[in-house]
Formats: sequence, C-alpha cells, structure tokens
Amino acid sequence: MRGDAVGVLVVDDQESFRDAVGAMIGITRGFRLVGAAASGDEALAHVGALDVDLVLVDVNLGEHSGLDLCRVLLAAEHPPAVLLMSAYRREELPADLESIGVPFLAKDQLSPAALAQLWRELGPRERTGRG
Amino acid sequence: MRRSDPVLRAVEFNLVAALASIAFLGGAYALTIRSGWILVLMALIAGVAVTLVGARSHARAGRRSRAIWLTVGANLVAAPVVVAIVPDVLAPLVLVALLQVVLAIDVLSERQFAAAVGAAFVSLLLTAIAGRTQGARSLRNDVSMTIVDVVVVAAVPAVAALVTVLIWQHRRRLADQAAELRRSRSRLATVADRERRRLERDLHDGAQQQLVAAAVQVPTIRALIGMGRAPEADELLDRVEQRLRGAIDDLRRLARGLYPPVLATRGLADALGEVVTTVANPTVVRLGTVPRLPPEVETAIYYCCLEALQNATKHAPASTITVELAGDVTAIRFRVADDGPGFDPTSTADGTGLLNMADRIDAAGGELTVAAWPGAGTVVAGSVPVVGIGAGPRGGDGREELALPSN
Repeated sequence: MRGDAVGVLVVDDQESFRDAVGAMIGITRGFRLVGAAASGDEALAHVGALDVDLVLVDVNLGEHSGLDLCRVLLAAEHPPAVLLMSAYRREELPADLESIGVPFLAKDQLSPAALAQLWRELGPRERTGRG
Repeated sequence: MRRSDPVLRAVEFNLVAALASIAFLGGAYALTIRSGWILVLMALIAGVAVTLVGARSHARAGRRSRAIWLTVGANLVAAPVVVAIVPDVLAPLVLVALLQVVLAIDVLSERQFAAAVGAAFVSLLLTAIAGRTQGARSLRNDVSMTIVDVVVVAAVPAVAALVTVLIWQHRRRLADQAAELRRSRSRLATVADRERRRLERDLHDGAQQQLVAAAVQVPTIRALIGMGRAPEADELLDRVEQRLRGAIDDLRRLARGLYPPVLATRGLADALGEVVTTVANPTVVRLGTVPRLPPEVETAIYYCCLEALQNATKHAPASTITVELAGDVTAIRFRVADDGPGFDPTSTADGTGLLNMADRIDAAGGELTVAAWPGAGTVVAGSVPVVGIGAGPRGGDGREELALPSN
C-alpha cells in the first residue's frame, strides 16, 4: 500500500514548518513523506535519490528564492508536481508568481484535505506524464 | 575653538580700526589741527581700544558673547560722543554701530540680542540728536572739514559694504544649516524605513513561522484524536505548545526591542542598567540619577547608548566597557567607552551607524562626539541639554502617563 502513496518532499528553511508538515503527512491517507530539505541544494539531492511525486517549496528559502528551485525541478525530464508555499499571503508576494507554472498555497491553509484536493488538481497530469 | 573664529576676527578688526583712528587723529593734530578736541577724541577712542583688548582676550578664551557685548557696548557709547564733537561723521558711525549689531546676530541668545538692539536704538537716537548740533567750534575750519569729507566719502561705502557682506555670510550659514538639516532628516527617515523592514522580517521569520507551524499541527492532532491515537496527539500538542511559547518569547523580545517598557516606567538609568546586564563583556557602570525627559529625548539617548554598546560588544568583544550616565538641571551627559582595538574614524567605510547616532542626538537638541584611536579604544560621549525641553507640552513633573498593557 505504501508504495502507491504520493511521495512528498518538503523544502523549507524553517525547522518548525518541516516538522509540522511531516506530522501532517504522516496521518494523511495516500501520502507519505519521503524527505525534508532546508535548502534548494538539499532538495535537488533528495529529488535525485528518492521517489518524489510532490515537492512543497517555500518561496523564501533563506538566501535563495524558492522560484529558482521550482524552475530547476520543472526542467527535469520527469518533473515532480511542485507547490509553492509561504507564510505570506498570496497578495503580498510578486504578482507573476504562477508564471512559471506552479500553484501557490499559503502555509496556514495546509491541511490533509487541502493536500488531497491539490493532488487531485495537479497530480494525475504529472503522473500520466511519467507513466 | 576654531582658529578663525569670526568673533575674534571682528574684535581684532575693530581694534585695528580704533588704533588706526588714533594714529590718524594724532597725525592730524601734529600736522595741522591744534584743537584740544582732537585729543579728547583720541582719548575716547583709546578707551574703546582698551575695551577691545579686553574683548579680544575674552574671545580667545571662548567667551564669545562677553567679547561681543564689550565690542558692541564700546561702539555704542563712543558713537554719540564722537558725533557730538564732529556732527558730520554721523553717517559712517551709524553704519559702524549697525555693523556691531549684525556681528552679534550669530553669537548672542535671542534675549541678549533683543537687549543689544534696544541699546543700539538708544545709542543711535542720541547719535542722531548729536548729529544735529554744531559740534566743536575749533574743528569747524576748512582743513578739518576737508579731512572729514574725505573720511565720510571713504567710510560710508566701505562700512556699508562690510555690513552687507556680514549679512550675506549669515545667510550662507543659514542655508548650510538648512541643507544639513534636510540631509539629516532624510537619513533619519531612511533609518526608520530600514528598521521597519527589519522588524517585518523578524516578525515573519520568528513568531509568524512558529504560529503557522502550530496552526498546521491542529488538523493533524484532530485527526489523530479521531483515530484514537491519543499518545501521538499528545506528543504533537507538546510541540504546538513549544511553538506557541516560542512565538510569545519572540514577540516579547521584539516588543522590547521596539521600546523597552522599563524606559517608560523607570527612566534612562534603569533601562540602561537592564541592557548592560545582557552584555557579555566586563562592564563598569556608573548610572547616576537623572531627571525624566520627554520620551523622544530619552529614546534618543537610550538607542544611542544601545548602539554604542552593541558596537563595542561586536568590535571589541574582549574589552571592558564603561557606561556612564549623569545629569543635573542643565544637561544629561552619557558616555560609552571601551578599551578595545578602536578604529581609525577617518577610514571607516560604513559610518552609517555612527551618523545615525549623531543624527538622533542632534534631533534631540544635543551633541555627540565619537573618539577612537587604532589600538586605544573607542569613546562615544554626548550630552543633551535639559533647559528648554523640560518646558515642553508634558508639563507637570515631566512624566508621561504610561500606556502599558495591564497584562
């Protein structure tokens, strides 16, 4: 059963959020946490090594922009689904955030239901691309 | 004291003019005009010269207003007497009296200047009346009148030009001051903006992230309870509590950084005393009792000392830091000194912190000096006058009603 679950990688420089997402995904049916990264470089290493289906990317990754990471992730041959997240509200962030083709979710809106809803919207397309 | 102090220059200029007049009169007496009135004039101007010598020593010792008073006074006393003897020199002497008053503009306080203007009015009234008299009969001969004509024709435009130049210099000084004021105001605004940006980032990276993490845990905990996994829910609740307490600490720390409550409730000495306890360096603390000041003045001194302390801990971590605060009814003085590596103030690339400190103290009406020598430590010292700021809108005992939250 576990093998069919969506593998999630969380990329955030805040330990508190990685921790909270880990606990949440642990109890969300159909998802499993495959890794947590504090930086873009760490994230790319995980994506290469693990079976990652969905990457949750913080917009402000410390010194680097989460957008840069998204671009690299999407440029892969079989890109995972990517979701940009931030403690800022959408309207506080750059207007062209989604121009790179990645949806956005405010961190405090994240819940098991929101995650499942999101995966229904962007997951299947990515997965057909892979299979 | 600057080497070319305008007051000293003015006094010396007056002195040279007085001595030249005595020499001129002496020559006139010796060569042609054998009038006793010439000797009276010489004695009078000699009295002025002696007064000016006194004024010069006051000016050299930095007692500028006393030097100006003596100079103005000597001229204002001499003018009506000279004109009573030689009525035709009325015009140049009026201009000379005016010249002295213009000199006093930058030096005397407003009240003293008003007194000087009053004295000048009385003196010039007497001078004008003296100008309508016949003057000394023995000086009303052709030779004397010719000499006076030459003096008047030469002196009127010359002294008028001097008065004009002085007023123009005054105008230029005011323009320089206004420009510096605009610059310092703009710097203060820039610093305020930067502070707000930093505050936003601290709030975002600190308390807000902790609260977001706590909020995201809540649905997870609810789900765990629904599944009957109470021990796991309990463990997560521990972590939520930890996040909430972290957020509370963050907010308290930030709020204290914005404005330390102890500064409002107990004043500068206690606020600085509290800050010093957080410093890792060995410290020598001498915090005297100082009167309460308007909040913007206390805040300026507090943040100036805080910045100096932070600079010392950052750049001179092994040094002993001395923090002093003292004050009386006239001024509050503060000093933060370390015996660390110091720096070369002429080669500091990033002096914005120091400039900001100076601007804040300047805005509070005070003065700040930063002295540093490579290898011999740094001293930040300043003072803010109490006079004039205590009579502000606060009134009463100078204490503002505190608006601290009740819990």
